[in-house]
Amino acid sequence: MRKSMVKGGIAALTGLSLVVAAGCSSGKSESANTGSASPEASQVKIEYFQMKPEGVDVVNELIQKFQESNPNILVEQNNVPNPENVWTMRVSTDDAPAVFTHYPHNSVFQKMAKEGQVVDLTNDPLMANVQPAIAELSKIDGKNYLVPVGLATLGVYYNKDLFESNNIALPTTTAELYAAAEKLQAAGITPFYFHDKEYNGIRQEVVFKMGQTLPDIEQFLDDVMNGKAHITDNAAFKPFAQSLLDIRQYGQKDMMGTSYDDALRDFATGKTAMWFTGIWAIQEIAKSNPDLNFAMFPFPTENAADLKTQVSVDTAIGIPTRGKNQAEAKKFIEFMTTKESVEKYLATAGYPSGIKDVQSGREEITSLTQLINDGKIYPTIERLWPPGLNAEVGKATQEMFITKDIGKYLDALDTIFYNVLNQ
Amino acid sequence: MKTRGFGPGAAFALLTVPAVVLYAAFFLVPVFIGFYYSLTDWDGFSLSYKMVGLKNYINILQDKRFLNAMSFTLLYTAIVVVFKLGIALILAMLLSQSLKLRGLFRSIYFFPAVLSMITVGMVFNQFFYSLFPPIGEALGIEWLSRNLLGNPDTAIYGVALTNIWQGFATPMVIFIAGLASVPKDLTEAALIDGATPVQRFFSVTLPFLIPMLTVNVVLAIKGGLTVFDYIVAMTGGGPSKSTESLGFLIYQHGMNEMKFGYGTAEAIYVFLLIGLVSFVQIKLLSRKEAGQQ
Repeated sequence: MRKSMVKGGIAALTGLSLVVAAGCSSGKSESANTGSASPEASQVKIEYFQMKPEGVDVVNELIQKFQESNPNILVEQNNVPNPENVWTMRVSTDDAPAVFTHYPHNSVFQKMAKEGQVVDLTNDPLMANVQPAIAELSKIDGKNYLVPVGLATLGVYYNKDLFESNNIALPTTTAELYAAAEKLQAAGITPFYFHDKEYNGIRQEVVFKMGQTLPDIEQFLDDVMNGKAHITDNAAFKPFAQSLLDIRQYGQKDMMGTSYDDALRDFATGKTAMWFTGIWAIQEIAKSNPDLNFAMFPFPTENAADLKTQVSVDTAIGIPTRGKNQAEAKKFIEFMTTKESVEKYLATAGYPSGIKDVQSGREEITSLTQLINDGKIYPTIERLWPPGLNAEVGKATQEMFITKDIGKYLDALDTIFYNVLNQ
Repeated sequence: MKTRGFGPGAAFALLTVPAVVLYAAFFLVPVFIGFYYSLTDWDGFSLSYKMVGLKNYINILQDKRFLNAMSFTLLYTAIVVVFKLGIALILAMLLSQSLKLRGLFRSIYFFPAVLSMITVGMVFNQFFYSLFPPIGEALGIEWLSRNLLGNPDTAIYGVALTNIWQGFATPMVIFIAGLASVPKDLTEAALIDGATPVQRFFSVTLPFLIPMLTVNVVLAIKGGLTVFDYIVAMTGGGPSKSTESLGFLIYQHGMNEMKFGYGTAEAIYVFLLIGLVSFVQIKLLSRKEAGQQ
């Protein structure tokens, strides 16, 4: 081999390996400012694996405050896309983040907790400030694994201007809701928007409405999942499915082609009067159109006296069993669950609070927070389902919206639920 | 060349070691581990699982969802390969003639290839919702005035359109290179002998394009069979599972529906399918290269 070839070859290889090394340094997504200029020898670094993208900025501010009073602890916030899958993979491969947020009703989290991958916080002083009803709601097999900070519920966003200009009062029963829809439709306004393109939104709607309207649904589904009953045995399911179809008569022209982001944008620009989804959309709607005059009302029941709304824990913080620096992690959680921190966090996000005595932020959801404070709540029924089942329900319902075949839908539900806990 | 202490053969063998190690570590080892998991019922994250032998493989053959994904993927591949290569060939021929600003046009037409698939998918996702329906309504075309992706029958065409829009660029460049390799004296001779453009294309140009055609067909089929990015960006497998490709279904089962062992077994099936298709392709196409007839 000629010397020039060898030199050229070595140069090329070096260049290539540099490029590969540069490319392989992982693009880690947002990490917080790291506080003090030079890390001291005794400084402990903990990673806060935060799952809610809308909370990143306010959490950064809270971390700043925490680090001011705890100069020996460095907190790095980590918010990635597809956070639940990433968390599951990291904990399974023993690379768990020191402190993280998760959802106590999430079936994968429940399985991990039951396998001992998450620290049991049931009698920990960290739980002392939590509202008792919410602590009860977040229990998995009688134990608390996460400290609940923010709650979520679903309700109907409505365009105040469209309601006022058509003289529509806030519906308190399903009959009034349909009447309002009729009136709006007659006036040439789209009453509802449905984002049926993605089965996730459909799943949320079905789980909410099942829990709100079907009597003794948790016990019944438990029987079905244990092979003791069939969905088709329950006479309440057929009218329930029919009601899902009926309300869509007042939807926009292309419901199946509208995604969650499209519906949010169209509601913010005033193309529809009402939109049923979770309170997590408030920030986005307000940002999309700051001039929009909107608020939420609870999804009505047949009788106004039975009104209740579903509550799930939306922001909750925990520690992994095999995590590092647990003492520092607990200190951080303690800070994040004080009244001041929670109020600051919820003021932007707008969620009702799981911590005692916290004024929750946004005025758009006062009617919903009132219901929660009055205790007229029920937990999300999908917390009792095995992993992956809720997605199946969403997809089966989506198919029903296309075929309009209720019989086939109920059979599909039965196939999904029947005896699934014994397999 | 003799190096002290080593025979020539040993030096060459040692030089291949890094590549072999990388290949083994990042390809062979995961394949064997995957095959092992496909014999279990592991859900992807639990600490325990059971060995179930070939049960996953047998169940898959009866799984309607897998068979639907197979037929979707094959139909999708057929549509995409035909149109992508057809458009690429036509454009390559047009851009091989003497045009003013030919270089500029070639750059413009190559542009879609430099974009990421997810970006193109998301942009077209928006087009299908907010751009095409108003056009369809204005023109009175019923099927265009709704979101193509919202209808289980038309969603496949929406995704295929996006793939074709982005995917014709690289085959086009390859065809341009192939057309440049057609000897000018042959085309001139055919012209003088009075051959029509069609005859000239099939008898003179096409035989020289066969190697390029081979490359393009192999790449296009591979792209079609493994379609994933567009599905994620545009339909998420919906509406109601009508656009679940094999790759997407494997991802769903493995990552989201907590059926890791089952998903890996499906992946092994797809591996066999692609191996078979590649084998057939290479056998068929290697016989017909120009200069060997």
